[in-house]
Amino acid sequence: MSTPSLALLAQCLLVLSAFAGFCLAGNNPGSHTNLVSWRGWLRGYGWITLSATAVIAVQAAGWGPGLAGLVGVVSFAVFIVIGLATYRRQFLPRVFVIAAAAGAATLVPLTRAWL
Amino acid sequence: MAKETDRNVAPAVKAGLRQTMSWVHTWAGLTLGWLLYFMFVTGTAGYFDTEIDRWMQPELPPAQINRASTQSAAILLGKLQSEAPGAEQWLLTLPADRNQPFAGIYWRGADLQAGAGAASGNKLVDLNSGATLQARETGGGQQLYQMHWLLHYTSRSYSDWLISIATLFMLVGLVTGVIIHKKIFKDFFTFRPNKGQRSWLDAHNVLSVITLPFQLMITYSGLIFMGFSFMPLIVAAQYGGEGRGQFYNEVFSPPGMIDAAGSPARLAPLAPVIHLAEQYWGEGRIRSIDIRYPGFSNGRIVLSETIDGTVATGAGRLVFDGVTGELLHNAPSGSSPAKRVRDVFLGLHEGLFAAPAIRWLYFFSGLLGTGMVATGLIMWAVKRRQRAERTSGRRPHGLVLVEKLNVGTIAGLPTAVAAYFWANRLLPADMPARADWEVHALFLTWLLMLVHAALRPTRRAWTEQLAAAAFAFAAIPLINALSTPRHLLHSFVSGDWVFAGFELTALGIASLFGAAAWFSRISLPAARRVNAADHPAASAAGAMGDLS
Repeated sequence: MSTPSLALLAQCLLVLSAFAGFCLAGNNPGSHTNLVSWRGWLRGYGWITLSATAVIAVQAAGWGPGLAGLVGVVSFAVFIVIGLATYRRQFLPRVFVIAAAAGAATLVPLTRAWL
Repeated sequence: MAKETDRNVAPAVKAGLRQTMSWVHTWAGLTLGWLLYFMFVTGTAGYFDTEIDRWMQPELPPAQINRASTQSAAILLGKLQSEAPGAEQWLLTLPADRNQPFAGIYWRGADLQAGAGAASGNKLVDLNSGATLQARETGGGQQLYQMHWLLHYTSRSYSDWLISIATLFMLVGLVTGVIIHKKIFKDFFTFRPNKGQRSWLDAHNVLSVITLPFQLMITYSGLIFMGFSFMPLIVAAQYGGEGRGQFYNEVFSPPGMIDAAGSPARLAPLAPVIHLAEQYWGEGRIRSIDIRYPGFSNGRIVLSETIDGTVATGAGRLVFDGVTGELLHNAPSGSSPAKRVRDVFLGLHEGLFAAPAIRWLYFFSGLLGTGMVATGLIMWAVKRRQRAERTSGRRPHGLVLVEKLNVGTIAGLPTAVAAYFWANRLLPADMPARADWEVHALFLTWLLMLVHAALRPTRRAWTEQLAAAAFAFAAIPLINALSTPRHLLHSFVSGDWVFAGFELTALGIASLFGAAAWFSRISLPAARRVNAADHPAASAAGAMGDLS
């Protein structure tokens, strides 16, 4: 997989996990009562991950195309999270963990390519 | 006295900011909502204009990008010298990226007595053989995209104003929408299905909020696009009422151009010029070579850079003397800060820079924007129908009109777009004014859908038109397979992802409309369906398919 494609995949996964975290932390159909004590951590994770993703986007494609693409990625990821929160809310914690892990895994070859 | 004053205060002022903004949002959205929907549908399709062009001309070979610029230019120049001698302008377009998959030539002011076939013209050229690429006459994806802002049948003087006002209303709708959405963060992830009017509101909110940056960008940049049309006094203030041409020349034309041709002289060889340009921009990054007064002493050669490496639409240009080949001007893309800002917004709007994945995200955002407009229009009707049925039991004429227009436009327009693609394959290849008739097919089908919506009970009309849209898109690959050798299987086997992508997208859209038709049919129990067919006003409640 080429570096730009890998960077886009990393953005998709990380943004998906960030918004899944926000959704789990919030007071909405996708939130879980047993995650109440984790809400602060989930929100913190979400903001840090979104910031990191913005850095990846800019590093991969420059300020213009990178941020334009990131906006599209965010819309796409939120759409998926809302779909899950509405129709398959039990999958949301799993999606959060898997997307976060897979997103972190893609950072390894990505960092290697950039350094 | 105080009471008297209170009574004289307009209700909107008394109602508070949110309610006032809600009123503005509702009516700004409804007034030109169907036009906005048309703009969103055609604009979203426009993100794949080049791919649609290629599907609509199946006679063309695979894209011929990544060729050596020097060789491509030599082939094109040779063709222009033989087919358009004595021309005032030769334009060579090189197949540099996705936006220009084939080489092309354009000329004007050619000398018919010197052997030119036509005074002006343009052709696509096969770089393998040097021959002209022959394909069916079609408006293609460009026509579909241009409808987005030209509206096709209206003159620019009308369409520019209509589009500008619609875009302005859209911007007003977005800003007021943010103001009236009290729980924009709390309800960020909230969609409650099967709750009638509440579900439509949730859907409208979700589609608006998750694409808000895209919608703000596309609307604001759309206004910038139309700025010179609906704010002509900005130019007139500096250049006078008749100075528009001078303004465009100064801002957009390459520098150092001379109006008179001068005396005959030999055209400078292109190879060194191309070599120098590639030193500036990189190999394979020349988009076009514009030769003014070729073979004359005042000739100029203008090379333009490709625009796929940056968001901005403006291209860097190098201007050479047409006889000596000397570099006269290096004009960067952003000649001033104002133009740089404009180029960035226009580039963001058109998305020409976008690689395939980002292009799909643009398309996805466009679809969600289309859904946002559609849900807003539907919600207006659902809300008022329920209110009317609670009070008088009769639907006002205005509500009936909106409901009919909703069916005929929201479900009917996509069928009309599919008819445009059908016409491309079904109209005879040698039919006169073929490209025009493709567009006529689109608008005639849309008219047919509006008539159907007017004649049928509303709920039935929704189901039938959604099913018609599903059928119309699902049949596109079949019609292509029956009318050309480039069927879907062939596309897979040969790795032709432009064709395969187009037809798979058509099938994907068909399945979405099929699902919508199915849900609109099953959303009411059978007994109520019968009732709805006979008395459409009676079928108010229901699930998300609360459409009748």
